Amino acid sequence: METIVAAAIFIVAYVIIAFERIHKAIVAIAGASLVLLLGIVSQEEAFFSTETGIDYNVIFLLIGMMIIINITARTGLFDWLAVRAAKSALGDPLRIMITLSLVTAVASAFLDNVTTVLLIAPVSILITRALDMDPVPFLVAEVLASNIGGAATLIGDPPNIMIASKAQLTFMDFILNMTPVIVVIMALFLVAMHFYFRRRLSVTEERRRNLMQMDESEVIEDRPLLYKCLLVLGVTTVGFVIHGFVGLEPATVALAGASLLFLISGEHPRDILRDIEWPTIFFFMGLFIMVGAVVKTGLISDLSRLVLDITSGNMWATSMFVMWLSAVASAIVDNIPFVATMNPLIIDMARELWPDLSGTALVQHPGLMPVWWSLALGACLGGNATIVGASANVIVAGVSERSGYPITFKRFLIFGGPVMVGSVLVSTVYVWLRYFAF
Amino acid sequence: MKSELKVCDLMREEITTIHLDASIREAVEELSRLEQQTAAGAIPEAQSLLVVDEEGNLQGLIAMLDILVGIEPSFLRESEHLAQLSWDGLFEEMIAQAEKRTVAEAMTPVKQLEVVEPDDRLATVIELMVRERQRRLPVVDEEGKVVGMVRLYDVFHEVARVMLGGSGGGR
Repeated sequence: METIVAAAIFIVAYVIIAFERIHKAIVAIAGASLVLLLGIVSQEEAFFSTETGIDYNVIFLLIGMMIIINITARTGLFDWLAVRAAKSALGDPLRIMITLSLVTAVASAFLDNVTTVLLIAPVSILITRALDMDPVPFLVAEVLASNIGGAATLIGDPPNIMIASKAQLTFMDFILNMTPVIVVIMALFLVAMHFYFRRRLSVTEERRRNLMQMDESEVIEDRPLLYKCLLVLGVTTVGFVIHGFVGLEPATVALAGASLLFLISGEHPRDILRDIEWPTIFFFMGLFIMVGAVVKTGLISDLSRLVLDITSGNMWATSMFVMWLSAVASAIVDNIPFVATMNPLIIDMARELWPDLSGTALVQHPGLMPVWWSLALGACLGGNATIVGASANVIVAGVSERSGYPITFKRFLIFGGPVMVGSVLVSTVYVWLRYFAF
Repeated sequence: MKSELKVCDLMREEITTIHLDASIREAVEELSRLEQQTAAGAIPEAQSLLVVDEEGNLQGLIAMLDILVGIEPSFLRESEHLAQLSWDGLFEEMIAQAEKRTVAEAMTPVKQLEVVEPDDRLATVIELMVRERQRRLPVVDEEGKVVGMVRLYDVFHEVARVMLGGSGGGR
């Protein structure tokens, strides 16, 4: 009975989140309250269990990074970078599009994708306005690049943060396993853009001069603050690179970075903490509790046995099943609840396959690793297919619409669909070559 | 006992309205006309128009700063740093773009607007003007129909009269 109730609450919440009639944070918190009220999970299990409770690694990593980013965003660094990039492309529209996409991809590897596109989209509209061009292709290229770039690192995209926490993977694990394929995908994406747009974009000499007139140095109003932010970003990145070697969790590194920046920047916590995306944080907390309830009732284990039945326990087949299912699911629904559900499912699957193992030996069994990477690739890249596939897409569509350039579902799909299919195909080849062929 | 001034003693009944769907250009024309009328010096306060729908219901207010809101490209509002980035000719482009927009897109909508009633006290007017940084308060009757406007200029005038005029205060 409890299984049915927990599953029903979870599925209803999923559907409401997909239709976006009620804010997803409210849905998640309400669902969490319900499973607690009904006693499906105890508060002890919801708050303190590593198995069925809130994953505070994810929560504090998100909060820590949001603090660092919120302070950095105030410096105007991104507007400076974008204008600098556009001017270095000498006003050539195709080169501008490619440089801006590249800047977005690299920034997204270290920052949350939503934040990155929120910073890069307005200045991109300004640049295209100076050039008298339609900003929509630029914005779509940037958001696609953002979702691709975000997949490269542990901190680049929430699915990776969640997977890293569950599978106890380090920042360097992601650099070694995800970054190479993302670099290839990004390169192919830029080549494809080059061929598609090279005859479609042109700009007059007069308009080019508009761009070159812009003085990007004007946007940096507080240079000392910028240097402090860059210092902390650098130190934090080093912290991420070595966290596995020194035995620190990524959330610890992010919190240390955030507190260091608070200490040296002199920013008031009230101003910075107000801009934390609390709805996202509460969405995660509610979601973890709801998923915990479904895990506890054993439903997830049943599903994991079903997946193993389908793939006959073959790890190549399982990886591909996970990757393509994640990609298609992420194109339609938010990839965060999807990954939150898949994580325990994959661990249950591992228990089924290797019943004698536990802890790190279990979650990092060599046979299981390609499945984790397939989940990360599918969930991150799948979001590129549609305008609702990833939060960053929705955010860019909003900025663009408010600025008078609405992006239709169809127009996004024309670019995003092929990019999603292409990038997941490349990932398929990569996973096969890297983990199965030899 | 001296009675302090109320809204009905201070408000101006002559108000100019403009339709929600009128263009920004029409609003600029109307505001310029009013400015010229009063340029003689009687009222040194910048003019404003009350925005109404077909039934004459108050929908908002449009004054000079709102006209600038109508001219500013909305993407500039998405980032606080972009104002520093511009080029020769951007101003003219802004004007050209703004001519296509309507009053409704630029006005301060009624839900962001504080209003007062004719028998409200001056202290209420001052409180609202200070708290909301609003220089003009439409005056509405019980049915919500606009009957006039209280402006910063009128309030300041009264402050000056009482403060500089000694112990006076009543009428």
